[in-house]
Amino acid sequence: MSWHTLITIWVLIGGYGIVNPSWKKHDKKEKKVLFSLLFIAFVLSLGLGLNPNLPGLTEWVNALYRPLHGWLSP
Amino acid sequence: MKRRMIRAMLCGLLCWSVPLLTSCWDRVEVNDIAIIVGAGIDQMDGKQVKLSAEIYIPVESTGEGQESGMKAGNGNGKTFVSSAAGSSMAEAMYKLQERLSRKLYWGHNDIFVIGQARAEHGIEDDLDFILRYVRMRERANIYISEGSAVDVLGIIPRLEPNSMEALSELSKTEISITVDLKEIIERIVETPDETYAIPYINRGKLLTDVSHVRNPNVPYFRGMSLFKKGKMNGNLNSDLTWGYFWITNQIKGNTIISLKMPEEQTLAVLLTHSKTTLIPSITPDGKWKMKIKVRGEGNLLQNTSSLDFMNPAQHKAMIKKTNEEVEMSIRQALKVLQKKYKTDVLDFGDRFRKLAPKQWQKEKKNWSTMFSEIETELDVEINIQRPGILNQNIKKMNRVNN
Amino acid sequence: MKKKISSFQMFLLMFQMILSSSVLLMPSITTMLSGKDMWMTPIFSMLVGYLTVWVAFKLYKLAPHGSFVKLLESSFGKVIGKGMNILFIIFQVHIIAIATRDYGEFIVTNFYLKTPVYIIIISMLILCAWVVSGGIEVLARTGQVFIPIITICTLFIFIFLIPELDPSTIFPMFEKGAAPVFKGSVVVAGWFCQIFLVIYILPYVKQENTIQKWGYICVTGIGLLMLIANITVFMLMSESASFYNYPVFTAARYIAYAEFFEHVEAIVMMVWVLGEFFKISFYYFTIYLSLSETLELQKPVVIILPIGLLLLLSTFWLAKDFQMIGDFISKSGTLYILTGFFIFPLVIYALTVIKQRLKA
Repeated sequence: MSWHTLITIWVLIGGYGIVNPSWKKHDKKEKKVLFSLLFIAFVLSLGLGLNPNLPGLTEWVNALYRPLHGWLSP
Repeated sequence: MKRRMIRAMLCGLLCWSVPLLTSCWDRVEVNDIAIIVGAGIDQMDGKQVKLSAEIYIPVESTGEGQESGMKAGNGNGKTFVSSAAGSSMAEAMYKLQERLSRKLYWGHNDIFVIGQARAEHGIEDDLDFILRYVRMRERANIYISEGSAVDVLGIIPRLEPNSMEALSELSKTEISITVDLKEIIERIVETPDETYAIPYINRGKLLTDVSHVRNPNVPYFRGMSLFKKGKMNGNLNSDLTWGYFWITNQIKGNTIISLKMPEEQTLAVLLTHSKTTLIPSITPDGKWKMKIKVRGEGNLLQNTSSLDFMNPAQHKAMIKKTNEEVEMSIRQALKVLQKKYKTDVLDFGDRFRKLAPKQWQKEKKNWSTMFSEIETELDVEINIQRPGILNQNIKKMNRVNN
Repeated sequence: MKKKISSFQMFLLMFQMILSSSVLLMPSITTMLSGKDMWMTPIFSMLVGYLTVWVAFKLYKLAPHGSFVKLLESSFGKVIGKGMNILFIIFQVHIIAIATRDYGEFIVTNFYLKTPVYIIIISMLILCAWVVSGGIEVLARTGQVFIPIITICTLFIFIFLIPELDPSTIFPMFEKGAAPVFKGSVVVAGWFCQIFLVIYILPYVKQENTIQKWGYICVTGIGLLMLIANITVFMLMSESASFYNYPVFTAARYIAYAEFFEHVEAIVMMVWVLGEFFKISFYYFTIYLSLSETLELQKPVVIILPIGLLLLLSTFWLAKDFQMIGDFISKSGTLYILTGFFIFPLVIYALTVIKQRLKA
């Protein structure tokens, strides 16, 4: 995903947050969770923007299960 | 306030999604497409492939309504042929698109005609392109033409709007069969030598309008062409094709069996239905045999021979002669396929695979040699049921002299 | 938790959740592994399905207030339990990222060649976010309307293909022994075991005593439809089915009746979009539910959109392109899914039962 899409998405999210301020009415705990999730997403989008081929969980799982590949080949 | 805002947002969402339904990136207007009704693939010099497309010309309907009404027999669409060459079919398609003001639309294409030179060179590259490209259809029929395909494409036959319609309609009759892409891919995957047979049509020069007037007897179909490992290695003429149809149970009703009789006698049978069963067997000492059992029924079509239908013994003689005729054509086809071309387009391999899977796994590597050595046993029985409307042949109808 | 949905609605949701991706993709992978015997594979994997339903039901009975999240916390202590919950949530995010990306790739490969794939994924995720914010009842009622339509359309495709089928292609059976069938069954079991996710909505089902019955009926129905799909695709294309990426789609393109009933692949697109909508919404719902319960939020509605954003980013982080998905699904992906949805629940069940016996 190029930087254009990521920036558009984040701007839209910011816009939605401003237009619909119902999130301010929640407890502190829920706001904390909300912002930590958004922070994780932000870090991930930065990572994806810098390196679209960011190695992820899938590679790790592939490496873990590689010895068992022989079981499932035709 | 809040409800109004939510409503406004929902309306905004709806309005935003409607343009997306037209798929901004992928939209193509109807009057921006060039509808392809037939495609031809030819071999050019130097390993290039030429792709020809027969494109439908949409006729303006208003203003010329009265004129086209009078010419209703010709059909309302004319076509033109455009071609381009490239080192592969994909490149040829790209170059073809360069010559046209409209986007090529393959959705209505039902016919691929491949020129003989290309067939002998090998068609696997083209098959890969046709199958992989999402816009093509697996139901398209394939034909091999003697000579080049682009000549066949441009013909405007008298009865149909374009030559491709004529070919499709002819394929549905008893003269020939349709072979579509899906069947070819199945045969490639399943048979050991990738053998299949594709209908073989006449050279374009024989079929053009002008020579139709002079040679009204020139048929479209010449027979079947045989393929092995993606390359054409031979063909069967129409008589041998007939034997091939008998063996593979592709004989359709309305086939006319015309028997060879001595000195000016004629005998012909119109087949109504038939069924061929192939029974494979492996003898204890390892010989592979195939029994071809044919059961059919027909009506008498023409009889000016000395045999009388109503006489039981002569009726049996008629049936025997018919059986012999069919057996002979099957034997000729078998001889050519087994000895000359060694190509198993008859699905013998599949029968043996179902009969003895383990032995088949061992033998399938040299199936061509095994196929040529299979002994065949024929058991043909065509029952002639009805004599038509007459009960006596014309030559014996004169009562005055009897 | 208020009881909101009936067990029939639960049955419909689980039925569609598993079938949506399997009917379209499965024949290709199983033909590659099992050859001619691929049609038998759903029969053997149904056993895995039954076992998973049984384990889910037993865990639901053992859990405090019927919640799987609270069960993990009470059996293994708060910290380890929350950690296991978070890991399970990440596992679910991984699986649905792959399924969503697969959906996007199908639409882009076959219909919208030039559209960027993230547009398709974003539009689907926004819709699923909207449904999830309505709650399980909205999802179940939407299911009641659409899922019978999807099933009927799928069956229509197979019925229209009947004249083109050649039954002799399934012989000879067991040509290479029973091992290929077993391998194919393992791959299909990877789909069946996803029915374990029903444990998250069991607290919402009104009629508790019919849950098990409907669960078993669901597995049987899925197996039956997979069998019909496999047989139809195989009798149409025999072994060349393993070389097509989307065999059911190719089969639907083959339908042509009387020269006018053609080009019905639009029905496949409709079935696929609707079916994937239910699958993605269901996973989205279970992720949302388990996250809100693990973090003990009172009004968790606000985290729906961030979860959606994370899902969107995961489809690009965890499932990079077509080649990776294909490779993953047929090889390590199957074992990974089986570990998470089959072996993990069995282990939890065994440990919980042992713990309870030790306490008593």
